[in-house]
Amino acid sequence: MVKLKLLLLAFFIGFSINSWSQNGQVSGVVTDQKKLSVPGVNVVVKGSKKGVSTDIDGKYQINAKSGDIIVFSYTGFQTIEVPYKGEATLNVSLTEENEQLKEVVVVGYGRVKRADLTGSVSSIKAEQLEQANKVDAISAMQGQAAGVVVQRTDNKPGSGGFNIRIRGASSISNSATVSGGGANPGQNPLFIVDGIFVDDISFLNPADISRMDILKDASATAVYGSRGSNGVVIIETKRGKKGDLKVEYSNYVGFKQAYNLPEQWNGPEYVTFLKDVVVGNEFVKPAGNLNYRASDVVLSNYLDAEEMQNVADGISTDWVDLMLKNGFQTNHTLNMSGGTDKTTYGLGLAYTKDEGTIEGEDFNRFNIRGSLKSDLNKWLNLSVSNYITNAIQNTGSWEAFRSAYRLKPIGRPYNADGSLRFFPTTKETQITNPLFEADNQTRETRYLQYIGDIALQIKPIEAFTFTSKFSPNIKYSRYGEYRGLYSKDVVAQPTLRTATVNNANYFSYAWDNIFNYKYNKGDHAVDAMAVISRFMERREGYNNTVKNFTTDAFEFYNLDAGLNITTVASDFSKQTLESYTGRVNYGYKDKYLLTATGRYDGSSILSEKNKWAFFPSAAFAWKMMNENFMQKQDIFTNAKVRLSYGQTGNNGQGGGLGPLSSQSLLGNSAVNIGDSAISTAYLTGLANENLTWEKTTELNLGFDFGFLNNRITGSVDVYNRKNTNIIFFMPLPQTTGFTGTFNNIGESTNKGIEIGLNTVNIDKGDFKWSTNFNFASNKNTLDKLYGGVTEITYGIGGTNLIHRVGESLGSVYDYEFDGIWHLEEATQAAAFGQRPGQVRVTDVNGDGKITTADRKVIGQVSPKWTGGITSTMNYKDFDFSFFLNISQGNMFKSNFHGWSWSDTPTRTFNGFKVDYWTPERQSDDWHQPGNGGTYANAEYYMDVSFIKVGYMTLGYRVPAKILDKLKIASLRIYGTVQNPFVFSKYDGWDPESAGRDQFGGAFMSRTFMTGLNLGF
Amino acid sequence: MKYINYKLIGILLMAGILGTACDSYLEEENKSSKTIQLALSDPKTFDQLVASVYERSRETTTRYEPNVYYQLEDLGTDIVTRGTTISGVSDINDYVDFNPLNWTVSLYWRNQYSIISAANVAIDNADQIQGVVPAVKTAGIGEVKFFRAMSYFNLVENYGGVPLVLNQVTSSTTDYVRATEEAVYTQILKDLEDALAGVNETPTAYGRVTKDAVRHLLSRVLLTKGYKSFGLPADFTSAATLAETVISHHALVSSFASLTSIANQRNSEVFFSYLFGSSAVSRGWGNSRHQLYKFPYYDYPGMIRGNLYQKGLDPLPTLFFYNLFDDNDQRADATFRREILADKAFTATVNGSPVTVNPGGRAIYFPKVAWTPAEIAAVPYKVINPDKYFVVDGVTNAHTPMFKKFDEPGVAFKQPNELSEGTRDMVMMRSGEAYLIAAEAYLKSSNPTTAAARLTTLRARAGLTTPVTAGQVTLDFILDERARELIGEVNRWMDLKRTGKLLERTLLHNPHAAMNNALKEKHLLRPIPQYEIDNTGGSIVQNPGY
Repeated sequence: MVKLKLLLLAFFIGFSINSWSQNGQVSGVVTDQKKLSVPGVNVVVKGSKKGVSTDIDGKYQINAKSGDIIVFSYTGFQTIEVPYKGEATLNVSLTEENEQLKEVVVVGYGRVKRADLTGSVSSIKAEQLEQANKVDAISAMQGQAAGVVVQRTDNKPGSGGFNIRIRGASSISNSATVSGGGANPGQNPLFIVDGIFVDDISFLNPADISRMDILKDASATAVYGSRGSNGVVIIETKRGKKGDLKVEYSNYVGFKQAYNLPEQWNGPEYVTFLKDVVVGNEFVKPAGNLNYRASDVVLSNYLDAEEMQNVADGISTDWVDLMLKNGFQTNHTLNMSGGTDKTTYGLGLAYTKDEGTIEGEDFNRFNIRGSLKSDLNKWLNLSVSNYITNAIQNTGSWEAFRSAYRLKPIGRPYNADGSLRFFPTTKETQITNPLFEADNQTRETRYLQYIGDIALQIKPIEAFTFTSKFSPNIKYSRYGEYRGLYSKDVVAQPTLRTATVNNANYFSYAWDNIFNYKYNKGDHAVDAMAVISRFMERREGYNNTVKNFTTDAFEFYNLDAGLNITTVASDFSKQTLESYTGRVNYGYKDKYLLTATGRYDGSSILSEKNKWAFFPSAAFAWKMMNENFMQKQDIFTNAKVRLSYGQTGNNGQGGGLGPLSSQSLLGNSAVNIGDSAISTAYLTGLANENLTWEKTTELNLGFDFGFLNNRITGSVDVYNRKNTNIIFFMPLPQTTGFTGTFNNIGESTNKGIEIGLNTVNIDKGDFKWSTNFNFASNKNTLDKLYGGVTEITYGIGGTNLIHRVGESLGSVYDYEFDGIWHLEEATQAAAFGQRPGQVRVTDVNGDGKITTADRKVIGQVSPKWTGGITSTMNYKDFDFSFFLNISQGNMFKSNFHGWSWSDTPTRTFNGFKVDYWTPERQSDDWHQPGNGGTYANAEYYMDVSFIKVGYMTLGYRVPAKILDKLKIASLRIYGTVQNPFVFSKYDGWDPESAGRDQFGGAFMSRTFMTGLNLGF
Repeated sequence: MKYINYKLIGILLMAGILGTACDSYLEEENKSSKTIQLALSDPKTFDQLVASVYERSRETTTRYEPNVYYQLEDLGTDIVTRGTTISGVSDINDYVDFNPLNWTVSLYWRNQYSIISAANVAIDNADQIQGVVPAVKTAGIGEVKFFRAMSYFNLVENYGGVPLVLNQVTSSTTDYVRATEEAVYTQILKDLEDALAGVNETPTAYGRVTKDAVRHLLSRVLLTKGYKSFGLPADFTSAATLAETVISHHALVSSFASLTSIANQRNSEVFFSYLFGSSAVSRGWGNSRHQLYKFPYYDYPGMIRGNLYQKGLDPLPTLFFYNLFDDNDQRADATFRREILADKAFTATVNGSPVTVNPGGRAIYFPKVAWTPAEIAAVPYKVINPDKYFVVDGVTNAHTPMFKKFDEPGVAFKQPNELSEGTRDMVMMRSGEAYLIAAEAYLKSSNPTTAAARLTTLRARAGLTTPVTAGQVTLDFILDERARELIGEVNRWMDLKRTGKLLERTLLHNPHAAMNNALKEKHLLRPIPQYEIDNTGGSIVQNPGY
């Protein structure tokens, strides 16, 4: 390694430094404020063509004569000019730039200095992603940007299950499912990775991301017109940087542990619980005996001889505990970059492994990237970039977790000879021993994804550039599922062995032709851009399921061995978007900035008459700081006001609107007439050819500030976002024969405030403590429904929801939980047709009975406010940081809790350890087991507010004097705990995914790991 | 010079790109389905639209949706109840808190209107589809009107007057209003007249609707209408006449055992069935009737989740049902089994010593007359006395003699949310019922003698040779006979409602409903699904009392 390094060093020093031995030669070392050497700094004599770069140790040599001015410049640092007075050694210390101002923000088809930004854009930089240190890019976004709410809905390793809402729900979709985390109105934002639209970013290695820019207000997103209304997340992968070869290697390794597990009853507690279920079954009868008690229960009526024996033997199996293991997690990322003035290159390799907390769950990801950018001549530049991901995700069994929570603790996991027992008791013939699942069930997704771009930039004259960029996205994925003989679904019946293979083949491309013109003269600065853009996306899929295999040997690799073909299906669809975009930035005296954007968009999936729409926006910024009067004060070190107004759209795609759905389509199926298969044709849905663009009109007022010599910096944004023509799959009366249709249903408003704050709390000597806060609060109101309707009710995953004028979109609409009927309230309860022990709900209209008119809006599924706090402390070479992710004020129906209390006692599953009602101990939290009553549903709506600690990290930067001997530029070692704590009133597993049921679920986990960041 | 040329090329290139921008780029494709415009040029489209009505009707009959089966047909009646101990409450069976949010009533409504909607699409597009042979068109429209009438009949009996939707819905209309019960009947009769005129007398393929199927449905409808305030005496006589025509065309099979045998499922008596068959493509969900009236037998020693008895759905027949059979009524043995044989060896303790029962030996037995405790203790198998059918025994909560009427050995053990995969024909109409319709119609036309004659013939086939006398014929007699003959085949709830016996007989014989005693007059109509009321903005009005 050292040899190789020396070789590389020798090669690149030779490559980049021209050294002459002449008089007036000056040499020195360039360091940063921490006294660390800075390699790759450009050192030039002003007004000459003499220029060198500092070497790996920050050293340089250059010819200069007294009186010259030597300029030291390097990205991320303030450029300094030093008058040369003839000394032989000139050591220079560079100061880091005020990042907030110099930072370059990606705004879509271009970039702009943050200082010149007129819209509302939050950025997450590589350092933040590195600090967060997550396995996937979306987790790394959580809590990092004000107004970006990320709900993780799936804890399985490698899963892309997230709901992301930027500034609340704009568009609304009811394609949500329980496995998707339940109801959450709104849609995920548009993701653009290196110029191409993607649905999911879990294929990215977070360490390969150079920055994520989140466009929030309509003036920023208008450049993506029809697809911008849910916000846009622009992600750039790391590219080459000018300078010597820079090699960075980082890794981490650790283990993952399940935690925050809801407790279950143990053996003896289960017996008590079972008796209480029997009592509940007596109480539930309209003429039940309310004097019946647990002591009256004859246990042998409900447990068979074997179970009674197990109870007598004190069997108490903790099924969850048996399932758990520590998962291994590791990542290795190698990045290299470098280049000359003309050519830069970057490449990287990465491997990630993430195991779950039960056997069978793991995720392996391999990433390779490479980019090259080169000036072919003075006016022509060519760049290519490739990003390839190969990933294998095993979600393991979808039943094991659920079985572990269902099985009675009085069953035995092992036979007397130590072998695994398939059914824990002889009587149990439904729920199998979950310890069999890992070996008997496979659910494996493999995918190969390629994202690339090739761009040609022509610069015929100085101010004008034309770029033609083609970005393909190709993804092949294969899902294979096999349920072996001893999996729960197969229950040891060979005919039920099932193999499924789904192949999906996705291709999309974006072809952007960008014209750019820059003009600078005197007080005027113009940056104008026009884009012609085309986007095409095509998908095909092939799905096969075959059952009845004589052996488990083939898994899903020999479908022809199965005797019963149950599914053979395929599909194909293609759609396109065509856009014409223009944007003009005009600056006057570097004080007044104006941005105007317009996009004319055509979408193939809307009907002929509504295919095209125009989305304009304008934004104004006033750099107050540059006014004379501001120069005289010393409170503010930065002050800028931004005001924007714009319009974006949504063609309904993210809500499930598919190709050709503006037309009546015939689907085909089959029936049996005359003992042969007869083809049938049916209308697949009710087409709505009047469906048009959903539009979002947004007003944003922002203030960027810096105080106390930028010890406190930040920004505040307030916005008012109005959505009209909201596209919704509107449920229709079933009388129509259709479940619903895509329709423009109404208008809503999102109003909110977002605050981002960076503070340097202490900066004294060796100790520095800085904090980054963000806070966002959004209020959504449905203003109007078209067609004289005042409300639309619908349900998702057992949660009853309503769109009602005056309330927030998708409000939870059900009976309101009001405690449990107590014994002494038997008479009052009876008036409502209820019994003691049952759930009491509010009689909203006070008419003395509970009817559907007593349903009311009882909560909202989107949080009322969210925030994040990152706190970093540095002492000498040590650093410590932690991060809090906060979400408050939302409600979900806890499908996790929806288990079978009222099941008949002989079959009663194990239950969660909760304080339920019994005649002896009259709880107001949970109903009597076996006696929930008609409104037991109401009890499961729960507040899912939480504060999660995202990470706690302690790092140590090995001092340069040690590293110098090892010829290493930088080395940091650290230890971290990921997701160490959660604070929540919610007593289920994970407040973020409370809407999920247990099927396919995975535990919430924390990870302990150590790692290093190494730079050469 | 060269440099300028390149620049020129560059500019031309840009111009070229600009120039290629045009509307034709906005293309979409969806090869998984075709547009109706494209389909109209193909005459086969008509056949497919008609076949789709068969498919929807079949699929929603074999189940309402995965996990919900036949609940509005047999639950909450005198002969079928829920398969649990006599405790707790339930909405459909016990009529406790039966409310508009009930999922099943919403499903049933949706299913019937999905059939109606498919029928409307076929009817409305028939003339636009090119090249359809006129005879095919006439028969096809007749067939779909038969199904439309059947769905409206199901709707009107369950919910009362419902919105009449008779054309393809092309826009998102929501302002539906309920027609009167009488108007719905008028429409049903009109559709059935058209159907009778349109469909073929003999089927072009087995499984197609024939004139006899139409006559049979018409006789059911008229018999039901006869009881209504707007019914006419002629409804009963017409019903009898139609039933007689059907009877004359379809002779009874000689024995009930032969009728229900899987080896003889297509016979002289049956004239309308849904077909499933062995092809996974055309089988759809599969016949689910083999899952009817079976308890979780596999939890008992010696039993496995096999493919001989299969998984049951929840409901079980009442003790009243099992007691309906005379000793020499052959239908009892053809309908259910009192003896369940072991799948695998098991060991039981008899008189203190272990006894091993081999596969094929008796594992569970249901004596018709209760055994004494001593008798029970002397055998190694489980004995369940009639009074213990709904008493928990440490293994299952409820357990009754297992049905075999619809058996299909070999079909895999399936959970109710999985494809049931039954391949047997699902018999929907047979002349056995026509005898009962005729008998009831004669009784209501004050002709008990002929009614008795029809019942005598039907009973004789079951081995009950003593003639029925005119004096014996009552509605209760006919309903008992229907139970013995048709359990699991026809809608019991509608039979009880029609005859005005729902409240009386259910409260008398359904142990769970009797315990809760919540069944009232208002339950003669199901609640209108709240979903319909909510989504029509209230233009559909709820039934009284809900």
